[in-house]
Amino acid sequence: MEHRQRAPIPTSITIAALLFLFVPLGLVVLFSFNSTGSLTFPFAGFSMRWYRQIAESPEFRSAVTNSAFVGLVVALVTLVLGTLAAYGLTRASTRWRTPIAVLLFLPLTLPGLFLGLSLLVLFARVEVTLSLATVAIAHLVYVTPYYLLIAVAALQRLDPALEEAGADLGGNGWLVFRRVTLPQVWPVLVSASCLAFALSFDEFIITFFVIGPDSTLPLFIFSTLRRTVDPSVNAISSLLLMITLALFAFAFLLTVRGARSRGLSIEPEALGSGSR
Amino acid sequence: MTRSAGRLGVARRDFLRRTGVAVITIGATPSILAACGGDDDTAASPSATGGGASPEAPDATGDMNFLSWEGYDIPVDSMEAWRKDQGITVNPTYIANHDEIQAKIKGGGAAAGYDIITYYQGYMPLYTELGILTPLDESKLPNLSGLFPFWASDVENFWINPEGERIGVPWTWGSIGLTYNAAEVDEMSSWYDLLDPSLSGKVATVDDPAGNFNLCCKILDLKSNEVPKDQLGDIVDLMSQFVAQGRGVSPSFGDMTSKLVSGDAVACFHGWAAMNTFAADQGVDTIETNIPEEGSHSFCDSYAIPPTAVNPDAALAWMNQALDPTVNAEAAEYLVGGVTVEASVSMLNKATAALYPYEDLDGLLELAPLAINAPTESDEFVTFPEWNEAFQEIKAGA
Amino acid sequence: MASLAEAPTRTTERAERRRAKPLIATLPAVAWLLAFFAAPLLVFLVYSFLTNELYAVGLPFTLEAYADALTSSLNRTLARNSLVVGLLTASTTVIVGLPIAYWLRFVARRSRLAVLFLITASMFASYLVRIYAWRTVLGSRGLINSALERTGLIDEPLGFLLYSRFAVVVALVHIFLPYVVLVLFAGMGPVSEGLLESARDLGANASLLWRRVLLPIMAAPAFSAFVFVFILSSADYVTPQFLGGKDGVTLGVQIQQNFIAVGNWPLAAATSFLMLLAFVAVYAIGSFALRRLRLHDIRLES
Repeated sequence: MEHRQRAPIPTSITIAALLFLFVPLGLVVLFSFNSTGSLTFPFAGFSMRWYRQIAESPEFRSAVTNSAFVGLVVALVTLVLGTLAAYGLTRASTRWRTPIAVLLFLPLTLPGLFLGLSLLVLFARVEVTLSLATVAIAHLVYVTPYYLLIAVAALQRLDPALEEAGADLGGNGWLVFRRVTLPQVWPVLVSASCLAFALSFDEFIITFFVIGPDSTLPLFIFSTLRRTVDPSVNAISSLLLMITLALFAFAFLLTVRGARSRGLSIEPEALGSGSR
Repeated sequence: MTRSAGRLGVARRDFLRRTGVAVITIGATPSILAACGGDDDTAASPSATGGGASPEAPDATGDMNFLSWEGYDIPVDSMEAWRKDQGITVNPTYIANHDEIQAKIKGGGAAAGYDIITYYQGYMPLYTELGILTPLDESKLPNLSGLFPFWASDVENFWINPEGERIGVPWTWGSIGLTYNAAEVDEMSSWYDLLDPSLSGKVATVDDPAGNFNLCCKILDLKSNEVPKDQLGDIVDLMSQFVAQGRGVSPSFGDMTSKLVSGDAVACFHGWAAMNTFAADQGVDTIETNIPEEGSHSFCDSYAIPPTAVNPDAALAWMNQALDPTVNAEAAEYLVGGVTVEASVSMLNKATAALYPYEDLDGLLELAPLAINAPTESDEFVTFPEWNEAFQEIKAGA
Repeated sequence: MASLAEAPTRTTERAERRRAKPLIATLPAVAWLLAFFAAPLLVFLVYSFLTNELYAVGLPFTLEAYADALTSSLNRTLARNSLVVGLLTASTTVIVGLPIAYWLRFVARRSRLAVLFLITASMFASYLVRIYAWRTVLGSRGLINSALERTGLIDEPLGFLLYSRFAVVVALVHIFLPYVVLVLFAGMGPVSEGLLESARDLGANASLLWRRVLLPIMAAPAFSAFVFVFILSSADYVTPQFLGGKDGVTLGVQIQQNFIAVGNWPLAAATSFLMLLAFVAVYAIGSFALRRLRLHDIRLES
């Protein structure tokens, strides 16, 4: 039996970090219920008026619909393309593997500003009409490496003996993948595509450049900041926070459950990673 | 899709009914409003050729892709009713910065599909050069006849190009002023009052390179599109002093407002009377705006049809309707701005009517004229790219 | 084995092909990224060598944009700001992230899952909203200043908190810390408790343990996390606009400004690629240092 040590310094840093991460978010939610339009202390009183206000705004509703639509398309396409790519990367061993892996992970290190500008320039060059489709195209580039991080880790942990057995029994590649591989990893893949949805749903910088005559939720928030900054922005954010949290909780449980059912401990790579 | 009175509009108008703030005090001009009294000379305006010929609005319907500020899609009852009647659906793209308009039109390729945009008059030369403003068919704009003589004139070719073609429909305007929190500081009669050491760290500025340039030019008594290159230093010096009085340059007017509300600023260089109302919506009703003695500049936003338009008929019908007296008045109330249609003045609520002295429009526009932005290229005068570079340096404290 | 490698036979070729076959599955994603990641970057790179024609580009090819970008004194100031913001953000996240990863790996018991969930979940709070949330915390009537004033510690609000480089770095740390914690936690995966146990048995105290065991092992993952955060935070242009004061204005703001407000696309492109070049240099220098210190590839058999 290992004995866990007491470590006062790491423990207090962790607690402080959690406070640091959540106090500002807590304030966002708190002030979304403020009865006056102020975002500064003192808190005036509890009210649902900002939620009512955004619920009545048609621009808000269409922005939510657009964001959800783009996020859904991105999540589904990533699920297919990303899973195939992750499978290829983990099952192949050849000198071509590395350059392909580099290409697939490279967007991770390119700031959104550069990707957005480059894509805008390309779309203008080939005269593609900017629309939600161009947003989805750009988001797919942006989320692919994040999806792959999780999917590759999940596929790497599988016991290769199972797939080999499947192949020995005469299954072709697709059959083995469908009958042997997929049943083991689908919870992780689904949760990874939920994260793809969340990343797309909140993406602002790239979207700003490649969007046409439509709006997404982050762009709607940004445009309202021009005239006034009132708690309706907080109400939108709180809703956004709840949506992404719910989605994330679902993805998280799926991953944990999947890992437990295979007798694995909770390993960091399984939990996904991403930013913004 | 229903577009009700709008997210911000309801609260704002409620507020305006309750209180009577937002009175702009302009030099010696009496701020008493004769509700558009002796202006019975509603004879045909100079440019309205199609005036009485066909009062019919153009028959236009379908989707209209709109690219401009939030609120410039006029989400007010009268416009909503008309729009539904016509069968026009607006697809709005809201901008956070004027430059996004030309960036989107030029950057999005010919296929971007925007049907209607707005432009600040200072951008007219740039937009003409970029080919963003297409000639408009005045016969489909009968409501032009209702414009104030000034807004109907071909002043500086802002709306009518040198060939006599109409390129824009001016429908909303306002003046830039010194906005301050009356609970914290006294009214200031000069822009230089903002440089008082007691205000150090408390002055907000806005990231609007063109607007700041035009205002500095007015303060230094220079013509903004004809500033000799050797005078750039003076403008930079002046602007640096104002920026140095605050901490950071706000990315937008809304952001300056939130600084006033949060107490992070008590006064704004390059403020705007509408901020009084924005701040009041957030619970601070002591924000006021005046025009100091050195003067200021005004902005007029016009609708225009870019070359990307696929449904120009809907855009024309829209512009025409924006000049309907009721719509123009309701839009001004919603936006806390000025009207360009004479008959709209008497329809305004007290607070919106008091924003600007309609009986002495000429006096106001002399004190705060409509400026033209610095040219994009010139060997003689300060160009916009030169100023922009300088302004970025000021922002970075370099 | 050696002889096979020297004289490849048909069997090894076939084996090689068999081992390469699964790569076909990556083709859709590869095609996608070639079309919408590599191609646009290439076009943008070409733009950086073209002549500025105000919201358009034209021939001839020229190095003017690069010359303009490199000689501008403004760009130097902004590059310095970007560098400082990037370095501060990246080092803070890594320094704070290490003990948290350690806690998650070796100290936490039941709460590990919950804390992991919270940390990861916070990554998905809206980017724009988080930037604004910091105003409510750091503003002159914000959380910190009101609390300090109420307790009588200060009479005047602390002004340096907001609209400063400090505020920008705080907000960026808020955005990137969760990511770094996850990467470092993953990096600590191979370190067994037995290893720490033996080190302690050999008389290592906490500081020696960190210096001699944990930090060398964590050097490579910490470096990856550092580079990732450095790149993304130094190129961020929204956070500095909303929270930064003078020294918060960064090169990203200027690139965006050149593209949108000035309409000088070659200049925006050239500045972007110079920045990318700087990132590659940071990465190369870091990798070189890790190699020299023999920290780049420590493997543990667990």
